[in-house]
Amino acid sequence: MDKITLNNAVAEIFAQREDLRSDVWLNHATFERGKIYLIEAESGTGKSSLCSYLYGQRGDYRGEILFDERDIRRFTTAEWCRVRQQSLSILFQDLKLFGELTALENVEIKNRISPTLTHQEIVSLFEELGIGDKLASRINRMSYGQQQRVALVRALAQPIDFLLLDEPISHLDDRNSDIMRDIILRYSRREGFGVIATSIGKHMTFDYDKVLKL
Amino acid sequence: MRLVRKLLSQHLSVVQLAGFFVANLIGMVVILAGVQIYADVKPLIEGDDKLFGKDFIVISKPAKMMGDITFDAKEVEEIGSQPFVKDYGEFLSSQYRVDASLNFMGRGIRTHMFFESVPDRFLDVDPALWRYDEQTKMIPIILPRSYINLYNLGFSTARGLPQISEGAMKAIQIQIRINKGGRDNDVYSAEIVDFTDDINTILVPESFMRWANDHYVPEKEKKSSRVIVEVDNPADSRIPAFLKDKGYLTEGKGDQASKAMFLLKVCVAVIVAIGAIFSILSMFILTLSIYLLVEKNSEKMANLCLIGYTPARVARPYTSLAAWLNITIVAVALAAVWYLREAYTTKLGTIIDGIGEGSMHLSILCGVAITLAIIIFNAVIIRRKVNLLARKR
Repeated sequence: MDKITLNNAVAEIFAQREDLRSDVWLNHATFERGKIYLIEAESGTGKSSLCSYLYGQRGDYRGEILFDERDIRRFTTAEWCRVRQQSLSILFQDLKLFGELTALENVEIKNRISPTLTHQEIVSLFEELGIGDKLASRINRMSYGQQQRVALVRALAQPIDFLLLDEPISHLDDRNSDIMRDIILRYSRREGFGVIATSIGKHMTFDYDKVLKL
Repeated sequence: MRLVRKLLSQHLSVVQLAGFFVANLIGMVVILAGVQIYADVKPLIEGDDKLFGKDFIVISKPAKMMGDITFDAKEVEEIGSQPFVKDYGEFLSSQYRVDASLNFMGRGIRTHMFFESVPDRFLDVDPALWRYDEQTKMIPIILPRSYINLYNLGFSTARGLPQISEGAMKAIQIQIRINKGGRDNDVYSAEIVDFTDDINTILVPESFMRWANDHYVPEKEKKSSRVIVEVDNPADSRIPAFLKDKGYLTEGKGDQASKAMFLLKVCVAVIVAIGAIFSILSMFILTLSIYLLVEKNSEKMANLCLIGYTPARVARPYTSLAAWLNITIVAVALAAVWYLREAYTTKLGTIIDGIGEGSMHLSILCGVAITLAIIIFNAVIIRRKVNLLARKR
């Protein structure tokens, strides 16, 4: 997938609002593979809704969202599975990690679908993120900031065309946030994928190709 | 797969699964035992002789002092025209004197006897054997099995003679003498080609009977002694009504055996129905258990779908759990039925000849079919549930 396009798309709950001034809602927005985007939002402007639409979790919007030239409303369950295995990855705001599994198992359970990272790569990413000693720790015994870092490794454990980051550093300090940014940049350059990050304030210090206001 | 299984086996209730296991096992054992008993008893009722077609009755007149007990052509035709009759034929009996003599264990046995015949189409016997050979003067005959029993159980014991099997009986050469009038006899030999439980008479081929009657007693009128009738349904209520109206008697497989078969079928149906109720209830337990399990783990399953797992793969730990449970159940149930069968065939083998000679094929087939049906049913409901989770927007 090379391009994500939103044509006059708007969350149904905002459809009747006349004061809507957004670079995305009811507008034409295009995201290209290989570029880095920031979507800045205020609370209640539908940031999480947008991520849910792009990831196929929800469909309560008007207008159209296209992956390349295909309307994602027409995607079947099998197609969404394929997209989520081969093309589109996400770091969920609520992480969606499995509390019963260890940090390493949480990455492995994803990596096994379409094996991308080697065990050595996973271990060195954990070390780089400062959680090298947490590989065997149960997720529900880790802090939220640590969990965010595990979720990033999991998000990288698949072939990617676009990486969605829904408030990826909400619980991280600047140093860890920079480490995370460096890793994402490195992988993005290596694999050539695009990044769409959302933020309601604190955001990663990328050299963004485009900043859009939601 | 190990991680997915680890994740989704949380909240698994061993008690619920054990409940399902026991209930379904009982149901399965009852169903399969019913089927097995049916398979073992059915051939005993039907008899292992396939000499006669399935459902027939033999109609005769009650013996009266000096009265005529034969059927004339009109009466035969009237029987044949009844709505329950599929096919009918006349019994012909020998109108001449017949003597048989045989040499057995060095002793000569001689007796007066008689022949009867039925149309060949009622007999399932090799046509090559069932033919009078004019060159060798060999008459094939079919004997009632009760004759051997009479000999083995009564006569031989009283006389200190050895018992004799059907095979040995067939090998005995029998000499037949047919009286030509006065002291003049024609000599034939006879060979036993088969035995039957169904008709209590000595049968010879109809063609021979007609020829012999014409040849030896051309002046006598040939009347039927009995009428053989093939019926569609031996339980047809019009049959006893007709017989009662006419004052006729019956014998044959269509009568006693079909009543026994009907009873057997009813008994087996009741047993299988009870087993089926158990199985259906236990399937509900399993379905409910899995539903509860899916409900408790629904968030994890939805998240697995979100990170790219297909619904089929998410459902697999549950479908394979259900499959393995059911396969174990059918294996244990078949072992139990085998054990049960060994027990009853050993016990009844001394009383009932031929029980346990059959196989367990039918119950294995039923077990496999039922298990497949349950596995498919479970897989479908689990998949539907997971598909709903995957599609939830």
